[in-house]
Amino acid sequence: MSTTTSALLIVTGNNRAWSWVMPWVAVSALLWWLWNLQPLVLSYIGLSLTLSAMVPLVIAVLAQLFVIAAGDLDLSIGSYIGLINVIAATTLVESPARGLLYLGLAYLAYVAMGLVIHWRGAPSIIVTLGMSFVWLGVAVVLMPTPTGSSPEVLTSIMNWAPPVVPGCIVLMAVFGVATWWVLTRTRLGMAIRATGNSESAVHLLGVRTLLVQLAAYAIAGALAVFAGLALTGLTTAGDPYVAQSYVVLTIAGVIVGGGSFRGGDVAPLGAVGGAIVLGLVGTVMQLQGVDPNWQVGVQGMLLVAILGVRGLGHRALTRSTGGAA
Amino acid sequence: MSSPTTTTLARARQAPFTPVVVGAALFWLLTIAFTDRGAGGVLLESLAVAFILVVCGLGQMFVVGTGGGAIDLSVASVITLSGYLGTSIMDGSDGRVLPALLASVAVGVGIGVVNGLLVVWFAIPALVATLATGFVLQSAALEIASTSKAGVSGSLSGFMSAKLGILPVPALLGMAIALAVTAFVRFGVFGRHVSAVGQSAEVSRYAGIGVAKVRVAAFATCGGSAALAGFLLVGYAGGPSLGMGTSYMLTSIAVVVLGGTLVSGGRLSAPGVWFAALMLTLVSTFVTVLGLSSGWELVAQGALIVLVLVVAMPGTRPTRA
Repeated sequence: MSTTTSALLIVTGNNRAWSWVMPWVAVSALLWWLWNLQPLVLSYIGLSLTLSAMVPLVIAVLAQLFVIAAGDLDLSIGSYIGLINVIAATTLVESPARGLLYLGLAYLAYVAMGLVIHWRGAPSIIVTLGMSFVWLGVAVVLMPTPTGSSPEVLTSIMNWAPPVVPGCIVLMAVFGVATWWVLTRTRLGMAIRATGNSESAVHLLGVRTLLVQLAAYAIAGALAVFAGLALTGLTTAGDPYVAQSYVVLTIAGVIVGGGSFRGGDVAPLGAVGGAIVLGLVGTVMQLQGVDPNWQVGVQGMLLVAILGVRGLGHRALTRSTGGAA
Repeated sequence: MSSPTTTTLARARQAPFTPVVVGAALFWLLTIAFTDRGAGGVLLESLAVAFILVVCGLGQMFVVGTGGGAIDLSVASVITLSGYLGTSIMDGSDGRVLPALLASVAVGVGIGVVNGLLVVWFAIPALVATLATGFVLQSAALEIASTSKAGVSGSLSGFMSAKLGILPVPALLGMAIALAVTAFVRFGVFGRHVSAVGQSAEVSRYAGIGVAKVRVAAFATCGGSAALAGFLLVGYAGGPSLGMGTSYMLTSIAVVVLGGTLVSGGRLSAPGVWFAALMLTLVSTFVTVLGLSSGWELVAQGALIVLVLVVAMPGTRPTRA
């Protein structure tokens, strides 16, 4: 393959090994743009303020990543995180023991959802769609109007300020690297990705695919709970609808980060970058004074642009290399 | 050995929409049991309310039918935009209802074409492409909402609340449209092409079917029907609102799949969409009749979707050898 083709592959995000790089290039570009608008952004406090709001989203993206790696899609993650937030902002504050029990039950329910999907072979899109109503409904029953506060421990974690590097960056790095390590350096991670990509083939090899898929949901559920707890520490309030946008954002984050819906095709470090890109775009737009009505639209156009370039690159390259890309 | 009854029963058991017929009947009976409103009244009211969902669901059915897990997530935004667009063109005048309707539907079809082209030319997965266009449309709707103060025309509202005897016009329309689409899918070429593409795009290509054209047309149909739904919804609700489409985004997909259309594509079931829409509406009615809060309504709808899917529909588990 010529160097131009290789370069084109990488730039359009079509090189599997390097697909995680592009989101970070975008992150750097956005940070540079932000810095031009407001130099204080790159200071310790500036970065803390800008990035700490993205910690829950980053963790949620990693949860969605595990589900996508297993070949599914979780459309309920927004409502689920809202439910965790509601429990954490009320029961956990009033009575930690009962709060932990509720969280535990919610966690088991999430894993049960994964079990139902794979034991019955039902399409994950629809089961998670149905469960999103259930999570949201339970959250609304528990908290009809937004209220609540946050357990102290959560707020202090979210406000943690170690020397040199802002706490939020440390948190994101820890979760990101841990996910990367589990998915690419452990047998379980490999099994998850293989099953997600080609369940019948892996099943025929004698692997207990149901257990592998359950493991993926178990990890995703834990991450979703952490995301909900982080969000509570940040907002110090409860609201069933707080994370509705997470469904869209987590899927976009995984895809922008270099993943695809094929199953097993995920880039954990890229996904973290993807989540940060989506968050930073919002901040840039606010500082640039983009009409609030159009901020959502710009995010849509950006998504189309990124994926369109990747798609065009893929089509052009498969034609020129005869399908070798 | 097999009498006419057993053959009919066997065929009914195999029909893709049987689970939702049973579900709809069940919740109809449950609702009647807990309220003193007449059985017929409950049914007709629910049919009228379900009308909008039927229209969106039928459009979504074509997209899902093309296979590959394609779904249209821009439906909610198209409904909202169409509502605002239609209202601002109508501006309270009866004479402008028709141009407003045509304009809204045309815009919806255009959006569908854009969605289809994004999927076909740029190889963007349908889920993400429609999500993105949905965002752009949301902004457009916000723009119109903040600049326009138009009102709905009286004749449109009248039409949506009219009755033919005791039958609400929307209920009749819903049945008529569902029947028409059923016939269209069964006997028309487009429906066959969508099924073929859903079953195997490769083979369809060899059979001479323009797969890309079929996909774009499916999205166009979905966009057009969502726009129609949005237009009619403002007649029903008395005016547009920013959240008017949100409840239809996921429920339009739910009614398609529960109704028996395969997510993997290849089998369309228009009667299923109609029955599933009726079922979901009856569930909401039932929960309201029981006097439970709106949170429980959500739980009931969600639990029902999962239950029908898991209990009554065939799944795909890999088998050893």
